[in-house]
Amino acid sequence: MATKFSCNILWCLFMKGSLIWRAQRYSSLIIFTYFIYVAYFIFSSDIMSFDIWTNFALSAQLKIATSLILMLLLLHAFIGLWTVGTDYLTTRTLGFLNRSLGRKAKLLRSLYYLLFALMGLLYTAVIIYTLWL
Amino acid sequence: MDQRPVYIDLTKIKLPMSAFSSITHRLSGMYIFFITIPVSLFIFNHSTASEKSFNLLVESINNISFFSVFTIFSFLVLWYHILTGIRHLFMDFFHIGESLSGSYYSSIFALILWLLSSVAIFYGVYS
Repeated sequence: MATKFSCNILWCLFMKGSLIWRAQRYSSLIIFTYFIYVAYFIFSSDIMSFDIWTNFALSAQLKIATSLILMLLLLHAFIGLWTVGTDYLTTRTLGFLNRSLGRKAKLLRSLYYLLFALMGLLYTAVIIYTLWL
Repeated sequence: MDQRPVYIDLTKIKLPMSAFSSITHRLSGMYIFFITIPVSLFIFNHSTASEKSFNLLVESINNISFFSVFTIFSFLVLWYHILTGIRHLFMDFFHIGESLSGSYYSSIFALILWLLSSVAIFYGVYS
């Protein structure tokens, strides 16, 4: 018997598979562009001194860009880490290793989500501290 | 409880090249989130803190040490993630390299390109 797929409004709007899929792919392109830009600056200058580097890295444009890229990076990483979690930290895959471990899959997955969410918060705090305070 | 025998001897399973590329893309992604990002935040913080810490950082990266090799390796893992990521984007957006042989050769290509550029980068930094 087929069961009708249902979800609440919030879940349907934001946790839509195709939207998440696109968000991860397109964010990767923007992050890549940023890395190319920064890498080009570092490798194209013959002499790299503290003044040249901080004039570039702590300019208003790059501070804003870095902060926005961090947000995109966390989005990209959270989608990827979440996918890996739902693929491997399951009753089935953990059960291959150990049956009792498999029964704890849901708890372990939640702890793993908590871990990377906290890491994301920590990275945001470090960037705010380094760039804006 | 289901008691069917489960045959999951990992040493007996041979990963196809495309699966190797896919799983290492995921593993490198994990490595980047938990190691490369903290390393780059540390470097960014120290390079912008003061001229003294900037010079110390440049000096310690240019000389062979655990810190130096670890840092360069962490960025090379990011570079590998980018290369295999571009490979995935070609498949996702343009459907290029989705055939069995296509995905095999693109995996080999990404791996060889990464190995060669890694050697070049280590040589470039230390020589």
